[in-house]
Amino acid sequence: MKRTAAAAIGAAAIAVVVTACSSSTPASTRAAATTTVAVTQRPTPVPLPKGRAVLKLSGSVSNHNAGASLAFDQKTLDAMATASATIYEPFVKRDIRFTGIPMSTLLARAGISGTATEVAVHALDDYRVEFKVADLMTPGVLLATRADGAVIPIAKGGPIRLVFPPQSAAGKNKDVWIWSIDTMTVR
Amino acid sequence: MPEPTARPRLSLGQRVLAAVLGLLIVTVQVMIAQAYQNLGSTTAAFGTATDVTAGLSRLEREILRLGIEVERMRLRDGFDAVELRRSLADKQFEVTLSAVPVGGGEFAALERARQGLVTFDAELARLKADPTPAQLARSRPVLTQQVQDVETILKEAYDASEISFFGAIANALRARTNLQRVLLGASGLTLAVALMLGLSLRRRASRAFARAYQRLVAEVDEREAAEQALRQSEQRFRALVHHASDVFTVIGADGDIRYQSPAVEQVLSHPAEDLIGRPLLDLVHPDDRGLVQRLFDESRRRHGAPVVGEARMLPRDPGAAARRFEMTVTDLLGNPTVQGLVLNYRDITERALYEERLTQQAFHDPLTGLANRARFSERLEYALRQRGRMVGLLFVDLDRFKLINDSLGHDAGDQLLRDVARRLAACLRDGDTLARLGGDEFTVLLPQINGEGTAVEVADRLHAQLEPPFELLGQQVVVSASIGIATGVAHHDLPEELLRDADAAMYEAKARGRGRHAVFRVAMHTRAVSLLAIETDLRHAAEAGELELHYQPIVRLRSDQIAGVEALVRWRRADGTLMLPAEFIPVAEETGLIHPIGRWVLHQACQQLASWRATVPQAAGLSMSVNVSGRQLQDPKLTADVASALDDAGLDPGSLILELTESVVAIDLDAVREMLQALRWMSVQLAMDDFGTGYSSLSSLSQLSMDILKIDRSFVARLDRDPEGRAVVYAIISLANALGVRVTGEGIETAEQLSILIELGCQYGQGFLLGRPVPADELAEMLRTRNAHPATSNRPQPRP
Repeated sequence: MKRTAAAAIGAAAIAVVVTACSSSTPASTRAAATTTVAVTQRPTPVPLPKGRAVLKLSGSVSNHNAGASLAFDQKTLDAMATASATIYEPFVKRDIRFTGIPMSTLLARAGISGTATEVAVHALDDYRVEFKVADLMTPGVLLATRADGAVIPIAKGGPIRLVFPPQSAAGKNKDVWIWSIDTMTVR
Repeated sequence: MPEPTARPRLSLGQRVLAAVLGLLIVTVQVMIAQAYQNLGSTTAAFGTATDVTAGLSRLEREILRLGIEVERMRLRDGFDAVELRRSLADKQFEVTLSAVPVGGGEFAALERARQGLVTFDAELARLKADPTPAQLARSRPVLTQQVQDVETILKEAYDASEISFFGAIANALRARTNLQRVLLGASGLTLAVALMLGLSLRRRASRAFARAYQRLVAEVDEREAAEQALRQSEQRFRALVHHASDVFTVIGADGDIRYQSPAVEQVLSHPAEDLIGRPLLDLVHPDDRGLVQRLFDESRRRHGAPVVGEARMLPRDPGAAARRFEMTVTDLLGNPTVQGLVLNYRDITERALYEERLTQQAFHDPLTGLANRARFSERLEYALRQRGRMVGLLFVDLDRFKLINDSLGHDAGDQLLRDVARRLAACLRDGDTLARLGGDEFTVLLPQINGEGTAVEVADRLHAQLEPPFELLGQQVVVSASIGIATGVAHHDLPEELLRDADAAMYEAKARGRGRHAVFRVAMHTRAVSLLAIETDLRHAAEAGELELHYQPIVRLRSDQIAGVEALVRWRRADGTLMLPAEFIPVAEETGLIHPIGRWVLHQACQQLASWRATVPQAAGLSMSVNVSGRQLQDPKLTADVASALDDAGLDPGSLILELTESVVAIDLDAVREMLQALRWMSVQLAMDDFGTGYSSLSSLSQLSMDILKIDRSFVARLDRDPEGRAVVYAIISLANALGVRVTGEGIETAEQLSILIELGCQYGQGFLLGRPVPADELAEMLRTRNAHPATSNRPQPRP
């Protein structure tokens, strides 16, 4: 009986430690601050796409360049792709160095509404995933434009896709790793 | 009873159960962990299957869409949409292939499908190189066919994948079910074991509880019994205090009575309740109040240790005498239940009186009321402790008291002692102590004298006091005493030595004759000591053959021939000293040894006479004189003893002369008359010894029918000194002649005495001049020489 009790106590202790580790993320505070800045500043206008628009944002965004939506061409996106990270790709099952735009930067650039809660992301193959805004605002969540330094072909999930850092909660589910993205609708 | 341990010890069975339970719990935990791991792998497998299936499904859709785009394909629109779908399908191929486990059955099918698309790409490239309707018409069926082939492959793969997917699920579920069954069993078993253990523990606990309860009940019973005992003991104590004859009083620190037991009413007549609040000292005799107060103070100092004292207390009636109490005081002021001094006192008045009487008895002679030996020793010791004092001690012993006691009876003896005590006391001073040591021995202590002369004066006064005759049973009895005088100096002489010296001096006085006193001289001491040894040795003298007879001739004065002999006993003691009758016969008389000694003398004398008659011709008419003491005369067997002595020796009774001391006969004529008569009837001759010293008158001689009268040596001694002595002797001889009694003069030591006696008409004589007492052989020799010519009639004629 004693041994059982000890085991139970041990298990409880382990649980506490695990919980403590997983919950203490100072980054989330920073993300919130960034969000605030994005909301209060006036977004920089996005140039009209030259040629085919790779990504279109619509819905609750204040920055528009194509009617009620905001369109990006490959060149504009490449210019914004300042972040990079080595991330394990769960489908091809290997580490890839992705370069891209932090989603928080992108949404801020789009002038996302302070009341917006969801972003519906749509891909060329009609696959779609709905995200909570907060999940996308998580630092490290990138809209990748390059993999291992090269433009991503459609046959490899390009030209743009979402990647998640290992610690992000949203990225734990493989089904949200959407690739060949064409539109985002903010609600 | 040991205290149960706080932690109950488990029994063996319970320990086994606990061990099994522990093991089971661990096993279940391990199994659960195992199951969880299995679940993880199952989930992983499940996930893989899902991925593959989902991938295949989406791949199928992409291929379907590719087919649709191929149908829609127009030369004018280019082939962008087809190429987009083709790229997307390629991506889906990549993803799905990644999901397929290595060696999975789907992998080959997917590779085949992809190869199919290579053909599709080649055909599409041909069309792009030649974008003509004709080529379109040729390529479209090929492309469509390619897409359908891939579709078919994918469908088969999907079906296979789906089957394996459901199979995997079924297997996982089945495995889970098995594991769950085992887990369930183990859990059930755990529960069962836990239940058994629990029941066992509970039974044990209930047993422990029952025991604890019993113990509790027993303890309660014990406590009740103890309380009961305490109550009873309290009741007993109360009863004891209430009914005891001892009085209990509790007084406060102020001395006032707080509690008073009822017994006080019995001993002091005070009702107990009247005394509460009164100072106890009010009850104490005024003279003893200081003493009682000191007793209280002492008990306060001793803190609870009892202090005992004696005090007189006053009864309620002011006229009644104070009673004496023994009082025990115990300080219980510090005891919260008492807070007082506890007094316990009991009436010892009676006891004190009794003790006084005992003291009186211890120090006084009950017969005379004089001090006894203990008291006398105490006084003597005290006197000898007073520095510079000269102490005189007189030892007074009545002469011949034994005879008075024996002849007149003990009551008369006691009466005489009382009268003597009174007379002796009358002539003493205040500080002197008269004591009776026992028997007829009196002592006088003169605690302060100027010299020996004072003691002698006192002795003279004592003699004078005793001179007048005493009246006893209607008779006049003359009593004299021998007095020994010793003097001692304080811090020099010891009491017992002084007493011993006085005793020795008294013996000396006795030896000098009755009614005398003697002052102690050192020489007397040795003699007194030797006298003490006589009695013990005398007891064995007869048997040891230490007694012997010497014979003194009795001479017919006119013829100078030996007419008879007087047998005189001698005691030759073991140390060689020869003792004369005067030294040991009184002792023999006092102890009763006179009877065996007298008997021996009678026999021995008769035997000796017979022996001489047989061997010495001159002894034919010889007579034998034997002394008979007063004690012997009182012995009824005397006649029988005399007869047997004569018979044994073969002598005629006329040959034997029994010599009786005058004083013995005079004391009680009536008592001895019968015995004398009986002896006369036996034809034994009787002689009156030491005539003139005693109390008998000449007239009593005729009443006693004496044959011979022996004139005491003291008269004979005076013959040649003064004419008066001669007149007395002449009177005696004349009287004897007139009465027909023969006369023998004793103690003739000079020729003058002899001639005067002859002149006065004395027929027989005895003394050193005529012959000393000698042993038998010497006397035989004497007979042969002195009686060479035997007288014709030297034998005394018996009275007609």
